[in-house]
Amino acid sequence: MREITYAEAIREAMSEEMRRDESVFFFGEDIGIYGGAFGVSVGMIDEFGAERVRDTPISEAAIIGAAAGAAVSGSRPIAEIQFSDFISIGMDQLGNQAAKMRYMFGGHAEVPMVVRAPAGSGTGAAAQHSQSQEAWYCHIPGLKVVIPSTPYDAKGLLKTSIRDNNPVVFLEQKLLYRKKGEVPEEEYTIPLGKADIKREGSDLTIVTWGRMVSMVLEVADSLKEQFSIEVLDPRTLVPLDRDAIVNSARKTGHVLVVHEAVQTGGYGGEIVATVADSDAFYYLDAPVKRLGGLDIPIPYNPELERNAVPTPEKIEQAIRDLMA
Amino acid sequence: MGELTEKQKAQALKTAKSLSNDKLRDMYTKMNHVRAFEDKVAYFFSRGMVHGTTHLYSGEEATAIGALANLDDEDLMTSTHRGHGHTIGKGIDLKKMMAELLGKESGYCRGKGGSMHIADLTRGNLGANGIVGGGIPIATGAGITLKLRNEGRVVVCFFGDGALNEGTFHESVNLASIWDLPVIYICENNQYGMSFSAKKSMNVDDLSVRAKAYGIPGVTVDGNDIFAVYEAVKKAKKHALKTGPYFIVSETYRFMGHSKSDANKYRSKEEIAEWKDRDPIPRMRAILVETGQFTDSELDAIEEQCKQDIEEAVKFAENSADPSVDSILDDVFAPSN
Amino acid sequence: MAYEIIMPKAGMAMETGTVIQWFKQVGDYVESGEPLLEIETDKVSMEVEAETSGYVLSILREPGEVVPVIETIGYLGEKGEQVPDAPTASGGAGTEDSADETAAQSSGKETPASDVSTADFDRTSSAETGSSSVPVSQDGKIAATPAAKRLAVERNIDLADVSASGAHGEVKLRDVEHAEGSAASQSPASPLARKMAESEGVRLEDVEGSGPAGRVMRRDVVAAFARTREIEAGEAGPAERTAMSGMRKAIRDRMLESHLTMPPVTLNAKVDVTELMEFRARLNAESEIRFSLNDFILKATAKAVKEHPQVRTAIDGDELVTWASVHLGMAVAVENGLMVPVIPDADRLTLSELSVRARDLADKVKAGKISPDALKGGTFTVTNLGMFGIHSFTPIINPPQSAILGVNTADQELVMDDDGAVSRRYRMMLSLTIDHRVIDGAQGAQFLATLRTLLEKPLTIVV
Repeated sequence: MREITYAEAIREAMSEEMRRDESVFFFGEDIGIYGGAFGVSVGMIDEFGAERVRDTPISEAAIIGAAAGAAVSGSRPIAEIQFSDFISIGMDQLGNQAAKMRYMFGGHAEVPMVVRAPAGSGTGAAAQHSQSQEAWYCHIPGLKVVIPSTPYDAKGLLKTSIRDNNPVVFLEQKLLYRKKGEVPEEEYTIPLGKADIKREGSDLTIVTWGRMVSMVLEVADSLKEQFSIEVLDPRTLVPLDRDAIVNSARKTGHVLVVHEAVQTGGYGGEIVATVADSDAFYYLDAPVKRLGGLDIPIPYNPELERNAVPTPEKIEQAIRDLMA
Repeated sequence: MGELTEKQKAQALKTAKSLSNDKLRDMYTKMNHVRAFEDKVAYFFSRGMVHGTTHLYSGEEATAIGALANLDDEDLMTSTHRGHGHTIGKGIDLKKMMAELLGKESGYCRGKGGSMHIADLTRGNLGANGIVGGGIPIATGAGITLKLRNEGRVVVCFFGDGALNEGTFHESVNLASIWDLPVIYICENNQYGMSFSAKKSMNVDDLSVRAKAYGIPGVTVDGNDIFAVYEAVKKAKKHALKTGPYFIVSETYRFMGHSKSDANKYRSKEEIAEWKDRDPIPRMRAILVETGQFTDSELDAIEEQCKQDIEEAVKFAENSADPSVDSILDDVFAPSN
Repeated sequence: MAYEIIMPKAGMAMETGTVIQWFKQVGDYVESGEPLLEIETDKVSMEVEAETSGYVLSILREPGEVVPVIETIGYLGEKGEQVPDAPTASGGAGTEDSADETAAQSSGKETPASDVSTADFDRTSSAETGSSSVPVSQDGKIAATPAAKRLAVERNIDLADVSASGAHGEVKLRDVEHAEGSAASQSPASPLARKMAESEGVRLEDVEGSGPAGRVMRRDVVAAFARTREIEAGEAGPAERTAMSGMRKAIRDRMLESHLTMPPVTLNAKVDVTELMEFRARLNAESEIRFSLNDFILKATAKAVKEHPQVRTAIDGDELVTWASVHLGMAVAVENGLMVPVIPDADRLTLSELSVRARDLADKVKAGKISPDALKGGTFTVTNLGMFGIHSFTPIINPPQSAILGVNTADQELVMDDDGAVSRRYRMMLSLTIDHRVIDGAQGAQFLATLRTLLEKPLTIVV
């Protein structure tokens, strides 16, 4: 199968959907000629023109709010926020407006919009350009939250997100943009709310998402002589495939959650609670563990930055502690 | 005080004569519907018959009704926390509206929205809004949809003087300007953002000068003269469809407090009385009688009918069921294919 | 708010109480501190005072009803105040046992009253047979993962029998999987219960367990055994049936437990008390206190018990527990049973103090005013049937103690001395029953020898 990058997969998803559906348009900062801060949309303006690939001023509240207004009036906008950290500038529009419209209008509205934004550390961009704030969005009823870990997932999930009739926060991973993976030429979509077992195992379940998936897979391979590790990527945090998590936990009896986001108040707590709250509890043979980012802003120095989030060494240690 | 200027009056008479009796009847009816609706809501709130809070539009009716008289059902509108006037102006089922205020299943939002979140997408009403300035980006985004579809429709975006100092106003009007979006931004300057007067919160006397910063037209109108508002928005609509966004400041006044918990300490009795002298409803009535299009008794009958309509709406609402708690989880998400 | 009247927990081990009578009726006003009702525990009857002033709003339990401790039995409050619909077990103090009791009670099932030492012995059963590597926390719980616990229940394995391999001392799933007898389809039962069932021919499958997850505990086997006996007795023809009092149930369970768990030996020794009786007569002539023969026996016994730690030594698992203090139990017959009030540190009391104390306790017992806590903590018991003319008997040990002294009547006998001279003497038999697991025959004999020396040389008793 052909291999393309994560960024290319996202571009393909947007382009295919824009060809397929006239009501889809794309806007954001520097997405036109420049092709987006991470080059995701290079060339799209040439195909679709400046009307459907709109460069915006630096106005995140207006971008997210306009996406909601365009969506509720019949369009299917894709809004790119240059760094997911900037979503906070438009947070009222996302959390108070887009997310709640349908419910507070008694079901008389659909808000089919996607806010795409790159998240995560590892680029030396320091505290205001490196965060993983998925838990913020998961805490707002009415938002769906998607975090793809591979080019294949990115394309299939983005196409579904664009077709979804609700606001979707689509968190891309900066460090994955240049990573290649197999993506078929043929059309496909991936449903939201369906986890993917990235690696099967019988001793330990590691639930992880985004950039951490590949890191966890490498650690799992390196320990394969000692532990049979199952790696479960929920892919969408809302809706969450709780059954898949519970089933895997029941099977292995050991659960570790790994995420890049700050551990305290992170979504890992929700995963842990999902297991603790289910009949998988009775199959647990060790406490359920979390390994998240440290409770600090992302620091600048490369070694400090690397250590602010889970590393292969920390993951291995967590596995060994859990399996002791 | 209270009377229209000679020039204003001449224009009002001219505008009235240019409109059909049916159109004028509709406008006068809506003015009185708003007033009667708000009176009834005030009565309910003071007796604790509805919970939460509410923001009443009494005194500002000419802005909403005059502006929206220019719009069709296909045109779009965003409203504010003080949205009952806009909602009635855009055309609404009074019964479902009253039912929503009483939190009933038969209400517009099935009892989940209440006073601040009434929307009717079938009539282009994209909803009232609990956040000051919250609707401005939404109207702007709706403008993108209309621009892309190019179907000759406009968006009217209402907000108050308080919202002029929200970032969303700046970001959105700029966006509409650079993209030539068909959005009419109407600032209802009712002189106070809750208790803080517009004069203290901004260092410009004529708020419409802000339009200059975005390179779009801006005008100020007497918001208690329905014909002046009508003409301004008529002109703005033409401009919006042909060129792009338009900014109108409508000078008006709310007769009641900011919300039902307002003791009105920041306004003088004299000031309130002055503005009540300029009540937009008697003003409109005087013009309609002077042009000879309506007699006093005809207008009396309309006013009486409006009160009855509200009573019927109340009856409908009171006889409606509360939503089932089983519905509490409904409509967080829309179904998707 | 209506104020709950609860069945008070009038003693550490009290699990149920019986409502005897209400002094107030619904609608009556009661002052805080005023007697509200009378209850009977398994040992005593006592008055319950109102904890607050108010009107009696409702009475939920009628006289004769057995109620788990801390369960609501009525409400006090303002006149006309609403009473909650259903009685609620007030939170906090409820133990697992009393929760079980509550459930059993509400389903109409009679639950045998457990005795004082139940908790101690359950722990004993774990420690006795469990691996020493099992971490037992202070409250006796075993650390195990949920998966280990689930499998243990499925396979009827006692976690106490499983050695823990977890890094923090917890029992892991693998430990249960590899535990011995793991696949056996035995009824869940504590090791002690299993052993006892085997020896007494009780089928474990027929016993309903009252332990966690339906585990059959020792107390369940005891109760089941008692029931079979009752039924056999019922086959003897027409009979009158009366409900057992709490005290009778406690006696039933405790005596049976003693019988089933302790191999007893009774040693009889004759003591010459002639001099003691003379000494007593002289003392009584000069003292304000009238000493009974029993006072001297108690005092002498306390001294002997102090001297012989073996008779105040009990079994706890694989360990022997030797109590430091001589807390002397004193069996007192009452109208409908028997009670054993305890004289703490009897060896440290003077004869006078002991005498006063013994009389006071006996009076309280007979008046039904003894506090349940005064019935606990004994390390050795004396029981006296002398006043009934009994010459010798085999007393039953009062668990968890290991020995009991039976005192008999003092008879006049003709005794020949070493020179062949015959004289009239007062002689009395002492019957010492010992738990032969702990106390050997010779040790029991040595204790009796000490006691005899004391009693035959009465001055040594009081110095």
